[in-house]
Amino acid sequence: MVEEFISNENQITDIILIAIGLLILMSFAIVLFFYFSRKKIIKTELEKAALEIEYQKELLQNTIVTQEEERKRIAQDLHDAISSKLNVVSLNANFLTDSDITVSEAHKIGESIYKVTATVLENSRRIAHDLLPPTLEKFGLQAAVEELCEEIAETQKFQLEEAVDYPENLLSSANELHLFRILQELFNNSIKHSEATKITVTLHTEENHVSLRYSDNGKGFELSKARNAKGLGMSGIENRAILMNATCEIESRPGNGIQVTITSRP
Amino acid sequence: MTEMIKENVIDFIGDVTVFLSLFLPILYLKGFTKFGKAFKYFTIYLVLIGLVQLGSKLHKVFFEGESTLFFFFYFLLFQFLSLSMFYYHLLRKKFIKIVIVVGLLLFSMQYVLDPSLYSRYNPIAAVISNLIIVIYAILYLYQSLSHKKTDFVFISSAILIYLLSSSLIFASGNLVLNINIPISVSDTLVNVNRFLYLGFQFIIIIEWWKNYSNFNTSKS
Repeated sequence: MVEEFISNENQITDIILIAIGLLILMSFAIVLFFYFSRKKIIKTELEKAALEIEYQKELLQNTIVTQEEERKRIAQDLHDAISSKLNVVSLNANFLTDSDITVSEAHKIGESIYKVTATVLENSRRIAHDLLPPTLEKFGLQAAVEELCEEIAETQKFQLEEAVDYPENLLSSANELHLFRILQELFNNSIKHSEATKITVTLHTEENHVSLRYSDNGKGFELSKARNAKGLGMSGIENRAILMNATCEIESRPGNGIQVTITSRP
Repeated sequence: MTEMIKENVIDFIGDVTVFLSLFLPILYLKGFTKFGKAFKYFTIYLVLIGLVQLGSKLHKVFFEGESTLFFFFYFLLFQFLSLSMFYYHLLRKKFIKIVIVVGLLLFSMQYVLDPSLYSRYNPIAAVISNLIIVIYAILYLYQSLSHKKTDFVFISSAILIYLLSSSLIFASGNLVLNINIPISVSDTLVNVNRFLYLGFQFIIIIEWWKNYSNFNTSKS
């Protein structure tokens, strides 16, 4: 009887102790689980942050490269279209100061100066226009895109099809400029590299979405290679699309032209 | 001989836990105004538990042989209230306040219906209030998964381990206090609880040392 009692008592103690042990083990397991999950999550978050920083760096690098190229282009433009012409004017003006020239000669020189200054004026206007088209600021995106298309059509290099439908002030002026620059860049690429004969531009508005579709029938390119080429138009277009919070789809294959769709998110 | 050493060691551990119960509030009171509301409520918890421990120790000295079980009532009540408020400020969830009110209503109803519970052992209230706090601790650990800061992560882990295991000890309280079961069984459980409580207190010290001691906070 007594033995039975003792063994009963031992059993109860044992069971309780085992249960406590199991609970401790279980709670340790939960704590360890949290500890390791936490470690893993923080690690992946750090990796994500590093990736983000890397991407930002690349973006900055691209911006700087584009900026430098733009400066180079402006410098070239200023030199070719203005400085060299003003040289001619300066030379001619110098002739005028000579005392021993005839009236007819002076007249001729004056005419030449007038002509050259007129070209310089026209050139400086064009350069300013290229840098920031006044139409965009004064009359909005629709007019600016139409004007740009007209200018491109005037070159007679392509058959240009355009359909522009954009209500005023739907996008912020900054985003309008982004969209305009994207279109400019796309035209530039087509002119410089594509050997295309036909370009289609559609600016379409549906509810609050604005989408720009651009396609040409040029020689196209390998998309992955174009992305890696720093300072090229493609990454610039994508960056601008990111900045205006729009989606950017670029499709191109060698021999198959290019199709770009930019869709702004409201 | 070995029995005596064992008893001495266990008594020593008991004394250490009582000493730490008084020492920890002092440690935490130093930063009472510095580290926000959650820290304040945890300090209040430590102070209240320290007072209960001190009271029960003094009661044992002055009224030898009398039951100290009613201190257990205050221990549970203070623990439930202060830790609930502690997690309310960490988790920022409204339902915690509702749980506090509902819990208090239920427990007071229990005591109104059976006033003699006050001087007896109340395993249901003990287990339920402990488990509620354990659930908060798990929620907080989950919430802190993606945070780099480790505020109260040690304490929450310790609360999870200690309260969960001690719940079972409290739950088996009335069973082992049964007349038919010799005192040695309940002694064993009390001793296990002491060990667990000592570990709990050590982790509270570690939390303080890692996150709130001058040594570490001045560095970061």
